Amino acid sequence: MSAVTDNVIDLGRLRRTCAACGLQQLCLPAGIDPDALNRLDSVVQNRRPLEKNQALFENGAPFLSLFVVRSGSFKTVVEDAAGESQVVGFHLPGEILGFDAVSNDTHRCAAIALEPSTVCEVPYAHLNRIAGQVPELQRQLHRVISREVVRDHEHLVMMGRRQAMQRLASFIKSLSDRCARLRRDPMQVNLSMSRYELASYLGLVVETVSRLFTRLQNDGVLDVQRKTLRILDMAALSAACDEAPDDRVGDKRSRA
Amino acid sequence: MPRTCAVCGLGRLCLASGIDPRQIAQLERVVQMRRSLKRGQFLVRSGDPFRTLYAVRSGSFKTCAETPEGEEQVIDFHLPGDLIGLDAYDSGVHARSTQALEGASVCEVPVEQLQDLLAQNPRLQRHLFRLSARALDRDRKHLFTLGRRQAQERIALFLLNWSERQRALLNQSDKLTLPMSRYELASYLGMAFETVSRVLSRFDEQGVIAVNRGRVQVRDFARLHALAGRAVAEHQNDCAYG
Repeated sequence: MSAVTDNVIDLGRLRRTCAACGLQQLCLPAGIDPDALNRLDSVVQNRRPLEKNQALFENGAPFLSLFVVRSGSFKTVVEDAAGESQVVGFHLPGEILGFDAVSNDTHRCAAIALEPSTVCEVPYAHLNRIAGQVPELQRQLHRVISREVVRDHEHLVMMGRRQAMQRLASFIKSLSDRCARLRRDPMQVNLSMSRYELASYLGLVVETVSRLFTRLQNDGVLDVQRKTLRILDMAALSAACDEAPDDRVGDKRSRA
Repeated sequence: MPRTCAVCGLGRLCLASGIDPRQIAQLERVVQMRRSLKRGQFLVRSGDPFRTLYAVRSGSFKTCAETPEGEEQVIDFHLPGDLIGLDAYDSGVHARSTQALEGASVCEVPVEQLQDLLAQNPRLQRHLFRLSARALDRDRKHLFTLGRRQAQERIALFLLNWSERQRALLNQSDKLTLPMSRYELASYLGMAFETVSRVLSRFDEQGVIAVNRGRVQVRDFARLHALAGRAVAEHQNDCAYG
């Protein structure tokens, strides 16, 4: 009997619908009625899971679909013709990938899995057709896009901070907030990116990032175990987001 | 005299692009009269409720955050055709303040009415998504710029990106109008004011650009691309972009 029940659950997991997905309040279906949800569900495609370092899409690839992170995590990277690159985003479950390509139907960045990950693929033409018939879905799309803009703005604000510690602390704080939204333990943050990727995202050199982690550990703010951070003192972390101690990066790094 | 979307020269950059005359007429009923702002006047302040989307009609704006030290940090500049307020859609509150950099005007689009119109008008909706994506793309270009370590690279990238925006607007890419002060530009690029002035002077001396107060003439695009760490080939690709 229990074997049969297990089987049923396994089958359900194999092809999880939007209605049964734990991320639906963060994702496109938030606030839409069951009928519309079924229509959305019918166009969403499961993609084969991605391995670590595998590209979901490359810079310059034609834009056909939006992707929503189901599990795992991704980085998005902007590259120029000379091969210089910049990590412009880290993406967790429930977050959308690829929207910036809507402006001219070409991906303007690459999305790379930071760990084994899964995504839902939402063909954009289908999504638009349904959104045209379901105003609530249209509104939710605007909300999701608006969140993207907010995240970019927060990243821009962070990159403008003169103090390296402010940058790192605000990043850890924002990851913790995103964990809370995923109903995960906000005091335990998993860093799926390398120190180099993190340094690129923060606009710092990797040595500075390592040194700051050591300092946060020594000050009893964090317990750093390779890729897992335990936040021991949230108040001190929040204070570090705004403090102005000795780690100026402004003029030093911008000297020509 | 109200200037309607149908006769507005920004049509192709703004909301009224790619929709038919009947739909433009519907949009015009929603879009409210222009509002004019003087230099330094606030369009929105951080904490204001989000009820209106703004489309820049003329002039330019800056959007700022406040640093922990109480200084203003410029995170975006807006030119005609840009929408202001997209970031507030989810939270319902403007998180940043936006101020006119010069005498400027906006068209006001009340969000409730816009939503009703979008519900009946999938093409307009798709176009609004396109405009939102354009804003995201611009932010990411700026993130790339801020990630460059060399001051001259950041300034060269800024000038190239600004030239692309101006080309989309005026079909002219070598004569740049910079409506912001050197301080605002320094804040936007995460650099000291002195560094911005020094690098611009050096570019001028090297014959890459000619600086005359708020105007910059690009004299040598190839060298500007090289200073930005870009290959020249990318510029040619970028011509198709906008």
